Amino acid sequence: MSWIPACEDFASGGGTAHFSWDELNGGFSDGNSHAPWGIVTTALAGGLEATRANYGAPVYLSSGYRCPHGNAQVGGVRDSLHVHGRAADMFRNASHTWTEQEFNVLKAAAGATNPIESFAYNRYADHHYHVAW
Amino acid sequence: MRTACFVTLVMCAVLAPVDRPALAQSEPDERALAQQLLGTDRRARAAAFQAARTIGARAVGPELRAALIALLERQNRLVAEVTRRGGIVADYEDPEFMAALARFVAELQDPAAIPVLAEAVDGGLPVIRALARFGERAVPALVAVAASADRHYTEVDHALRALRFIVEDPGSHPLSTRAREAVRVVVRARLTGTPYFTTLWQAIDLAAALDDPELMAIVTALAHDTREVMARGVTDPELVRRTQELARDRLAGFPPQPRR
Repeated sequence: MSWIPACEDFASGGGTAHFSWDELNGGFSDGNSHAPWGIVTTALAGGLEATRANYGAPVYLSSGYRCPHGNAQVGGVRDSLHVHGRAADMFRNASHTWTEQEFNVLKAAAGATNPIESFAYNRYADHHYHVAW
Repeated sequence: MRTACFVTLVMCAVLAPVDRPALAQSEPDERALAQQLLGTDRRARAAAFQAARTIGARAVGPELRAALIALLERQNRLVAEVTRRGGIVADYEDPEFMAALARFVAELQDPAAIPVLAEAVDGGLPVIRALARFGERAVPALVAVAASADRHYTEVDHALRALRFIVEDPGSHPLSTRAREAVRVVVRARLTGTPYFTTLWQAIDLAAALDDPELMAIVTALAHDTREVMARGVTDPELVRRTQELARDRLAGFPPQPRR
């Protein structure tokens, strides 16, 4: 990993209007060993809120910030933007099921918000939408 | 307790295993890095990519530059093939690695990379903006992708958005009549065929940027006549509503987002 976070990059709270801190800093299958500490950039927080506003409906996060350990556990690439607190994985609903059309409506909503990563429907087997700002 | 967790977290980040560049301590051997990039050892490839990033996009030499572009081209082909077969890309390659590679190739600002960047759909706005900075030089490659009947809608959408950025701000030289006409023709085709709904949306945005009377007449018809939208194969009521709302917004002068 080429990026080393500074102390001031970490926070222990501070969700957004529609995304709780636990959502932004959670989603680990084996629990969050560093709770409540995590890194959520203003770009991620702003991008998520703007996406939700464009989409006009709730969206559900399955992954936000990941520490290097948590990222490795899910097989994430070493310099993943999740580790930088800039990426989120999303679904339309809590059951994590959707059609390609539903996926693309959300992707289009996010696409208007200056994402630096915005992946297509067939990138992951569970079809989560990965986006980063 | 919180302090202990925080310290543990910072140490975890600092001490995380690192892909060391092959020859990071001295002058990097760019030929070796180029070979590693195009080799079959993924760990070596990741390390070579990290070493290239350490060198910096503006400083990499021609051999390493060519290898980076070749690797992105190879990955574009992989994505196209997996998509054609209905497969999952992550089964073969990490999408985040591909996106990082696309962004780095975009930073090279190398015209030789235009064709591969025109197909690198996962790199987001940095790749699209890099294409737009090439101005008219990028138009032929982007039009070819946008016009192709064989391309996946994600590629077509990516190309249409990059073309919009170029039309909105062509840089120091205005687009030639020929380039503008090539863009107009492809937009017309996408507005009048049966494109995927996201492609129709991108075409509406690009039509508004072109402000061409014939194209705007089509957008007007889409905005006001549900049958026109459905004739494009968009039949889901929610998508029809969103399509017409988008068309009306463009007719009202609300600019598409994001901006270049």
